[in-house]
Amino acid sequence: MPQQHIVKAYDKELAALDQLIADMARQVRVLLTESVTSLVRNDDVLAQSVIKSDKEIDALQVAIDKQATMLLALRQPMAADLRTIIASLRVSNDLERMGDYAKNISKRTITLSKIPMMASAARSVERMSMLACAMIDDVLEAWLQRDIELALKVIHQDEEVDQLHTSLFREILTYMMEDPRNITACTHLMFISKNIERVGDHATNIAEQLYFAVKGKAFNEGHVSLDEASAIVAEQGSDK
Amino acid sequence: MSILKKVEIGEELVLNKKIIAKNVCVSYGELQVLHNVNLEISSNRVTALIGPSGCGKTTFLRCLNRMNDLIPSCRLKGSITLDGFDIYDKSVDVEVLRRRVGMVFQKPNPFPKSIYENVAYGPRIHGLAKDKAALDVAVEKSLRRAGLWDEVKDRLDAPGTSLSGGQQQRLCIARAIAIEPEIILMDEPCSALDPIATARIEELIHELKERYTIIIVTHSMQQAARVSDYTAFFHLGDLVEKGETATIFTNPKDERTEAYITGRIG
Repeated sequence: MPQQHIVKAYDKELAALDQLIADMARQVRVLLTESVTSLVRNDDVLAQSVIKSDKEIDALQVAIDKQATMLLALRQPMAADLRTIIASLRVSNDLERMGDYAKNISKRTITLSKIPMMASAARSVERMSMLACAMIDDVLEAWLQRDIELALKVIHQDEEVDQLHTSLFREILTYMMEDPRNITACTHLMFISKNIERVGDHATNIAEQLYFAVKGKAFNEGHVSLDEASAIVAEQGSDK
Repeated sequence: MSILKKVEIGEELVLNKKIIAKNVCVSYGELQVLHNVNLEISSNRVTALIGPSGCGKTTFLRCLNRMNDLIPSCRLKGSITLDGFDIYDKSVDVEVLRRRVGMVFQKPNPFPKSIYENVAYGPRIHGLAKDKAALDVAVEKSLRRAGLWDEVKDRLDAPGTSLSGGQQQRLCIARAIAIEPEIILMDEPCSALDPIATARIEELIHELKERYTIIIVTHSMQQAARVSDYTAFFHLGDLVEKGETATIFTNPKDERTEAYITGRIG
């Protein structure tokens, strides 16, 4: 199908919508990276700045809503254009949630900065966040190029994030059993790990939205969740 | 599902096809304008024919009540059946056919007569009303069904041309339904109307489909999307794609349909 509309302004308005999504995704990626960096470096100031910056992401979501509503009202989009605009609205929701998770990580980082740090667990969190950031990069690239193959790769990548979350969950549980004084820090780390795992899920949602926009049908091959943390039970201590 | 049930549904599907066009080819002299069109029109449904200018949609519409017979160079191959009977069979009386298949045109074209006479004309020449009282009933019924009665009941003797454009078009619809057709063909019925008059016609189409089978040619895709149950997309004389309107406009199968309905250069 030819890519250009007869009315060139329509193309520009659709491109502007993509640009807003790109801006939002890049901003989310920056905040996620910075929130985890602030955790690893025990950097309150950086964490504070992440919390403040989340507002910019919310503003981008409002801008996407506005652009999509304008397109629906003024252009009466059909077929692939219509699906893309509907999907864009959902994608901005997913990105907004991802921003919230970055903000939440930073809030917990500030709390953690006041108590002894679990360095090894923080590094595991960092590894996990690098994977999640790669997913954001890839899913944005897939979205901008309408690249289904890359979107499917992102859905596959989420399995790795799930597995890391499961193993991190076990690791944190072990620290808690070793010393109850670790429980506060560990509980926060567990939530942080869960936040990153959710970021991966939202990146997967975006990939699925792209599939819908391009193919005109819902992605229902169903990716297998490898997040087994919900089934993990702490072993009872042998001293009892 | 039992086999019997399946057969019943199958029969239902076949029975509900009011018009079946098979391998319809139409030429004006040497120029072939329709190529092997196969289309089934469902009873009591609105079917929209869309496509760029010159795609053959109006030609196809005009085949359905043999309006093209009036063009000497026009030749048709293939078959078009109405309730299973070939409308191009030698035994068919074209006047009777056109009584069953009424038509509303792009520009409202009331006769230069009173509002009453515009509607009474058809029933009178076809002998559908035996006396003045019966004719009055037919006129009122048709004007009511066309949603015009309340606006004109006090001035039935006024000339049809004194009405507004939208009212004139509804008068033409009243005239078309006064002879109790089964099918109404509409060739861009709203292209000369403002949005309010257009909305009234669209609402009317929605009401009329309970009684009639409607086939509408429209250049407005939004209109096709709003009023029709089924949509057929024509391009360069080919019927490219047909299907439920919701599917055609959200997820068309053919690239040419997609390019046309999304406003891309096709």
